[in-house]
Amino acid sequence: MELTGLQIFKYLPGAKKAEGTNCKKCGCPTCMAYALKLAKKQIGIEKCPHIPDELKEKFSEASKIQQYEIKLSNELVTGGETVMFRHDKTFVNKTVIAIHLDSDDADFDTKLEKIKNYHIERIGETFKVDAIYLTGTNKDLARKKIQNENIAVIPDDSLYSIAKGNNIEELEQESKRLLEQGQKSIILELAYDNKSTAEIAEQLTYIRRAAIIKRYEPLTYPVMVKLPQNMDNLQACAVASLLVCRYANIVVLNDFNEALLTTLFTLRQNIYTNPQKPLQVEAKIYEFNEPDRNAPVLLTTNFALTYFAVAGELESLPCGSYLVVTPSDGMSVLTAWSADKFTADLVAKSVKDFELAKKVDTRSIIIPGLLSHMKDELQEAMPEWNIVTGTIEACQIPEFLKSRESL
Amino acid sequence: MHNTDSYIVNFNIKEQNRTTSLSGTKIGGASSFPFMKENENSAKPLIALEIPYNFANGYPDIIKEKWQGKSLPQILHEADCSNADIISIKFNVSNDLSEKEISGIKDFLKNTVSKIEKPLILRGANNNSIDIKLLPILAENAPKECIIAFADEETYEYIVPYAAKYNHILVLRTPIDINLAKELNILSIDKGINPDRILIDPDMGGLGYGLDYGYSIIEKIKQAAFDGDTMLNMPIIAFIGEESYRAKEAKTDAFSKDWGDFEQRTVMWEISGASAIISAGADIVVLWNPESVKVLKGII
Repeated sequence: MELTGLQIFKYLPGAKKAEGTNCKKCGCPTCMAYALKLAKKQIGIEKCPHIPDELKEKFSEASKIQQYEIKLSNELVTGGETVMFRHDKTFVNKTVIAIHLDSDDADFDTKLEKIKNYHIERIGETFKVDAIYLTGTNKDLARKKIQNENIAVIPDDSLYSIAKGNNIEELEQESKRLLEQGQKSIILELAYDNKSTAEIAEQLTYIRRAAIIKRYEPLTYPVMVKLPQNMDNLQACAVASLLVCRYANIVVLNDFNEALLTTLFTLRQNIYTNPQKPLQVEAKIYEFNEPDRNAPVLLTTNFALTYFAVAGELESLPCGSYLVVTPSDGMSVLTAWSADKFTADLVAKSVKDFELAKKVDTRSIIIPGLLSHMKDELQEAMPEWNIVTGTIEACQIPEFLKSRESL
Repeated sequence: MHNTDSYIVNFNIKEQNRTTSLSGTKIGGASSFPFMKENENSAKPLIALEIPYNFANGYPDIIKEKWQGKSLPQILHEADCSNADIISIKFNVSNDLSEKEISGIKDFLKNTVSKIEKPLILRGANNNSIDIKLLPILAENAPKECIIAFADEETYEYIVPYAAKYNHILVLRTPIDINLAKELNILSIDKGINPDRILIDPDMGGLGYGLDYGYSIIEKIKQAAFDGDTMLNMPIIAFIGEESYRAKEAKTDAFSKDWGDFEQRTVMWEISGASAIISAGADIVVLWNPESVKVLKGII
């Protein structure tokens, strides 16, 4: 754990009114000022001649790395985690999703081509296969064929060594051995073998705790797990999902399956978002399916989940539509309303700034059903528009628009 | 053997989760996150399969197709023979509950639901004005002790007394907020429910649509409970099936090839979300797709 300024101060002469109190040798006016700077790592511990050994020890303990970041290629790093739970801070480097390819496989080229071509976009992130876990006797040639900075090849002796083990004890021993040889970059590979899901999850949790809480050096490295060959894709989905949540830094799949990748990348996207910061989208007018000037206009806030729920429905409609997204600090509809981030004035200003009136001939704006109580207020602020109360749930939008059409 | 003390960190718990029992099936009792030996007194996470009273009302085709051509009693019988731990029935009635509809529900409970051998969840329509009438009827006419789902901030006053009177377990739903969850537990206990007969429902979103919020609330509730908060140490239930099938990825085929085969993706979407929240600590996950139930039962 990091030491706070006050915790550090207790060890300094200033707190004990001892000799050397506020001696300024460190360059700071007081011991307290020095303690605060030291806590923020803005000054070195060697600047103070009065630091007791006890604090030095605590300090070196606290400045030990929790989990090393290891480069898998020029583009890709793994590890570097600092907390056990995402809500404590944020997870750092997304779980690497790798696929196993055997370089002796007769279908190697076809399989590689598929992996290279796979990519989709979801909420502003590109999903693609991060790495290939290469085995077989023909590795050098295979590596040349992959030759793509965007897809890392595991293993890569020039970047790291792999410590293999069947459990935490074996990993610890092997990692220690590599450290003694002077290796600094290590990946821990935990063998799955015949372990149950529970055993794997337990081993991974103990390894992560040893790193984050104990900062025990042999285990402060990223962990890789390869799924067993005999799992079908649905089982692989269940287990890999668990591994993304429970502490594998690299998950190796045996098969290339688009549905599996899409699902796992979506889960990873969820787990690695910053829990302190709501995901938001740009406030502007979005167009769906090439709307004409009479297409319906809907309005909502810029909270990413709200936007994507509504956008998903509008995209799936056979007709075009517009969506006005207001700048609401990434808050959902009701939160924004209660925090004064969705006021009649603000909505009126957005509609004006975005020049909606120039874009469309229709003069109706459909507002979220949850804000039906704002209808009169909005109507007053935007007399040139007809304010219509829409649906509470995004999934009701298609039916709602259909019923309006038939009016 | 060598000394592992230098790196093995065990979880420091002050309080084990409450345990409750439903027709002999143990729920809860966690003393750590799942899959850990330090959690050995806990029940395993339970997998429930949910069947709607009315398939025509709001169910995606992919789920309807699973049961096509079978009557509701047949479907429930099949579900009862599956490897699900619990059967959930969602009474998704959408009208204002006429006398005729009420007597239909009572007959159904008496003649069909009573034949189900597995533990039961009886679930309302997710509509407050219906549920304050419907849930008391379900509580009163249930053939055995059940999980009644759910009461929330606006309905608990009406529903708690019936759950308590007929000795059911009651699900309390609050919108992804640990403080609101605690508050509703306290209010409901004041209204007469035994704290050992409460399940917490964090009202979470499905994969890709806010799963992360519910995921973290579950972890936070578990941590608070292990730390000794006796108003948050009830088992947690999540209706992840329903949330999964709100996602267009799980219910529509309108995606390019790279998004994967629809049949597989629709099952995976539910499996992945369920797997994630089980790892976060959910004690019961309620699913819609019998295939997901089979796979998850296989790995837990």
